[in-house]
Amino acid sequence: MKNNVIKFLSIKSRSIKTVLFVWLVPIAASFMILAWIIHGVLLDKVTEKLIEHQLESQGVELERQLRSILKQDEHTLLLRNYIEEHIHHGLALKINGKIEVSTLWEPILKPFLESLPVNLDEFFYRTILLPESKYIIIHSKKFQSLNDEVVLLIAEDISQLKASNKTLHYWTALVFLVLSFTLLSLIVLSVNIALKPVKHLGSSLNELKTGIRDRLPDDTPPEFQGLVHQINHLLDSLEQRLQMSRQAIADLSHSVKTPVAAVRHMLTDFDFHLDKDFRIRLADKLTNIDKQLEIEMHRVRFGGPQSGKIAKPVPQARELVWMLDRLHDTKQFELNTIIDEDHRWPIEEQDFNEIIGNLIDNAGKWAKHAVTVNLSENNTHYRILVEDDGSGVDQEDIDKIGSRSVRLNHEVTGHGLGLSIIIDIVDRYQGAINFSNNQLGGFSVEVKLPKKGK
Amino acid sequence: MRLLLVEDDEMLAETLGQILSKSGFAVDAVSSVKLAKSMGLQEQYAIALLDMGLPDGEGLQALNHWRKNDCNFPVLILTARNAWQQKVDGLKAGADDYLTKPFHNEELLARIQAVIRRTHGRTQSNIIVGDYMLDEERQRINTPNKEWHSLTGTEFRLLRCLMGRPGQLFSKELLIEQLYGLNDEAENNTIEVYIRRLRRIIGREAINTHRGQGYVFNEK
Repeated sequence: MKNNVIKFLSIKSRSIKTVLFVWLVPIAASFMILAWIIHGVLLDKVTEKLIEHQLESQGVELERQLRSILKQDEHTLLLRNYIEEHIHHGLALKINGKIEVSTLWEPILKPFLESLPVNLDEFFYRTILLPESKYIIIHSKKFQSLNDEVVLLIAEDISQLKASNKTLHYWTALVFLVLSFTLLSLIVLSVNIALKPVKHLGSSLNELKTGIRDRLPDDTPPEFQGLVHQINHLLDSLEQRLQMSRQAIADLSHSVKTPVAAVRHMLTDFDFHLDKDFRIRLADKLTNIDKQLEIEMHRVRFGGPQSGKIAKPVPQARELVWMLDRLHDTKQFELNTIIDEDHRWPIEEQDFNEIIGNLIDNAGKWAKHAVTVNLSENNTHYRILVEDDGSGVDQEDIDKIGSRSVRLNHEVTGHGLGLSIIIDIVDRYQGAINFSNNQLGGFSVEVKLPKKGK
Repeated sequence: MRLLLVEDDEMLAETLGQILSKSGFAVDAVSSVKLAKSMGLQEQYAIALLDMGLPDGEGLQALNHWRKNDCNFPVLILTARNAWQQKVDGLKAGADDYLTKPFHNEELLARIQAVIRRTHGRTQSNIIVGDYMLDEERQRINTPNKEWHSLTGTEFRLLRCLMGRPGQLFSKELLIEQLYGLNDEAENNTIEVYIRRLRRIIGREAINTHRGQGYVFNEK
């Protein structure tokens, strides 16, 4: 049960469609209900305000009329008639403590006027009278006419108005219901339209699985472009790898089988005399086979960008520096870097080892006393610099090793297979390799690998 | 000089045996990890040539067994696998050099001589402070969790200096002098960088900083 709840709440594993509906439908419904409630409240408020405004205007008019009546000598009867003639509103007067109220309104207004505190000036009062549930608004006004202190109450029964409002409010509920259904239908439609590319992607993946297509289409929404790009990249590198290993095996079989056949013929032909010259040729043939094997093995071993485990440059470089330091008794190998021990570079672990290992190994051969390895990075590049204090290389040779024609199949004289391996790996990461003579008189190799997207 | 040859390829073992005998070695040839383990403990060898891929396991198993039992004769690894990590693993396990197959006989003999010369008179010397052990010969440190960590030259010299006198305060200037001598120019923050790196390897609590004064290796 608990697991089911967790599973339901976990957005990661739920379908996007469900998540959208689970969020959008209740939110939209709540908003509609809230809007309907606010509509009812506002309708009531507006009605009351309107009535209050009317009562206020009435008050001003009544005050004017009452002032003129009160100026007359015998005004008591006039006042009584005046109050009774006002059939639209309830009226009550308190003149110097004497109360006059319309007959119909007496039970309501008389006690109210009697209990009114003396210091109140002008106000509105709303009340519901039970048991008839009458909704009454009373406006009170106080003024001085000659020597008379007058308190005037005007009351209006708005129960009828309230009932009409209620009916109107129920009718609007129907309108809101229709609007809600329209909104929900639009949400369903939008979600379906928005998720169409996902469906499309799903069917593309199916086609990929069944072999109908070999890549995913590029025309996807920006949210999926990164994913599609990564998958396509993975597919490309898988394809490239397959081609490369096939090519490697084909090359290997081509370059190994013939010499193997030749050697076997020579060794099994017992009439054939194996003189010294012939033994040397035989050994050379085997050396060549070994070299071919080595080249093809390296080619297959390369990871390339975004494959395998990614490198931890500092510990990996430290171990290689430590190893070569142990192997060369009279030379010192040092690692300089301010990069953190756990920091990673997006270079395949073994590719990084091949680059660093071969660079230090070469430098160790040429160095007189010391080899330093520098690891650093900036906004655009990862940088490996290996320097030795040997005798450096002629400019002509530097140009030669830097030329793009030098690849794995073309061993660089004096630098063994190592440098060709490095050049090949660096190429695969679209990086750059620079060779130069340094201030110590030795040779420096700088490898710069671009950061992704730079 | 007695030499232990651990190689399962009969033809290679036979030819190597002949060549090594001609060069003055008394060769004991075995072809399995099991035999290599016991032979290594029984005899006093001047050197062992150890193939990595043996029928009953990895050559490294024999090497680990010898080192665990304090057999410190030099070991030259012969391997057909040319990956850097395997070479590092071999040396970390206690080998002294490696040679990738196929090799020339002359190169093999030269390497054997070089390794014997280099390791002649080798004595195991360790600096032990608390639960830390600095292996001076192999330039590595054993931390309280019993793991070995390899150190680069400067890291090792810095640690040797600090562990040589635990509890003593070393100023930055003094450490630079010890590490670089008078001729080399060290950058101002070099010591901080190395101390930071060492702390990442051996743990924060091992080296204490006395602000403005220097560093101390914790005695406890």
